Formats: sequence, C-alpha cells, structure tokens
Amino acid sequence: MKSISNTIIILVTIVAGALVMSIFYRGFYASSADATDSTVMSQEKFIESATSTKPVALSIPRLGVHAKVQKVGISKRGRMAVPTNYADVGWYRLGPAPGSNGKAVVAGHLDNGFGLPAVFRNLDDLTDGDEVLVTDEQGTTFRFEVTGKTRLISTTSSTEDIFTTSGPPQLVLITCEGEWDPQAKSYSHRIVVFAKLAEII
Amino acid sequence: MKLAYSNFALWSIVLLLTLALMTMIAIPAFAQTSTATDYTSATGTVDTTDTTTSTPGLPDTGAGGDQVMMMTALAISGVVALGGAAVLLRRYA
Repeated sequence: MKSISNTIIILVTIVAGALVMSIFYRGFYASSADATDSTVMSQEKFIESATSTKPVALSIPRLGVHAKVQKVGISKRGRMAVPTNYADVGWYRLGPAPGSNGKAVVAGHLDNGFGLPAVFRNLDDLTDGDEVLVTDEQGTTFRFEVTGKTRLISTTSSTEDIFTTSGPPQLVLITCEGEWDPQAKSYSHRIVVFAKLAEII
Repeated sequence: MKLAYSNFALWSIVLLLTLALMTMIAIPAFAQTSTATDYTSATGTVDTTDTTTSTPGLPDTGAGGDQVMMMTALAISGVVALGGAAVLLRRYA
C-alpha cells in the first residue's frame, strides 16, 4: 500500500514539474499556430527579389532595440507569421527586403506569455524622424526614418497598403496594441509604423 | 533509503513516465526549431497564399493577455512540484 502511495506522489511530482517546464516554454516561445508557415507553394510564385539580400539585424536606437531578424511567411490563420520567440523580430519574406522597392514588413511582439515586455513593447513611442537601422547578411546597413504611424483593427482585411511590393523603399514595423480578446487570443489593434529609406551605409 | 532498489517495477514506471513527459515537451520545441531553420532557407520551396493576388492578415504579436492564467498555472504546478519533492525528500532522505 505504501508503495502505491509512493508511486502516486512521485507521479504527481513529475507531472507538476513537467507542467512548470511546459508553462515556462509557452511563456517564452510564441504559439506555433502563429509562428509556423502554413502550406507550401511552388517556387515560381516566390515573389521575393532574387537580387535582394536578407535582413539579419534590426536596431532602433531611440528605443534601445537590437534584435535578430527571423524570416517568416504566413501563419495557419492566414496572418503574417511571427517570430518564434519574443526577442527577435520577423521579416515577411514573401515581400520586399528592406532597401528594395516596396514595403518591407517587420513584426515584433508586444509582450510574452507572462506579460513581460517584448521587443516592440515601446514601438508606439516612435515619432517622425526617428531612425531604424536594418543590416542585411552582406553587412549593408539601411537607415530608415520614421514618417508616420497608424492604428488598425487586428481583423482588418485591408492590408494591401502594407504588403505592397511597389513604390519607393519603405519599412513597416508592426506590433500589437489595445485590449486583449480572450476568445481570439489576440489584441484588438495593431500599431503600424512607416519609415522611408534615408541612407545606405 | 527505504525505497528498495529491487522495486524495479516502480522505478521503471517512473522512468517511462519521465521520458514520455520529456518527449511531450521536447517535440514542440524541436518542431519550432525546425520551422525556424526553414525560415533561413533562401532557395527552398516556400509558403503559401499567392501574394500577388492576396495579402496576409496582420500578425498576432502579443501574448500578454494570458498572463493571469499563465501565472496561476505556474504557481499551482510549482507548489505541487515543490510539495511533492519535499514529501519525497522527507520520506527517503
């Protein structure tokens, strides 16, 4: 009988310990539903410019942001995918690269599962003229200057102006804002910051 | 050590359960690593919707709304784990 009691205590302890690890994992890594790309399509439809190089680092001196850049596609929910952790940012790899014509879109988290600040926590503090630096894999740095920002409802379907591949080189930074919707497991709004290419270093 | 090492069945169960739980936790971790690796592929096939005709929705870039649930679950499971460990320690130390 004592053996059974021992077994139960050991099992409960192990399960509880595993839960602690699992919760920590969920708290510091983004949901796979948001982070994973969904289906695969043929390479012919890959619209990313073959000549553009991929961004690897992003800095926003005014906010003290220095982040690695992950390459992301579209999530299973049909949204732009997000980085797999809360410290990196995600560049929408099916669109233009920073410095190329069109708008290069970069998303970062507002907070993590424990409510702690993530990389774009203070994105809303950016004002016109603030600089954003993006370095690509060849070491070239593109300096962008913030030109404006807007606030959109998270479920908006009018995203053509953000994910456009034409026009002068611009950078778009996105993060969450507003009220948390427990049903949708998402914030109600998004802050979208626009920046124009000012200099190639 | 009152728990006899000869109690092979008990320790086998504990070992198997531990391995099973570690696997359950590790699989998503490896899955995400795999996904992240895929992101770096410059020439491989890529996803998804034809972006020339449709655009994705805005990204889900927040998780903080789960803070209360996460902290509660963490606290409860932490207390249970520590309590169980304390009981086992007192019993066998």
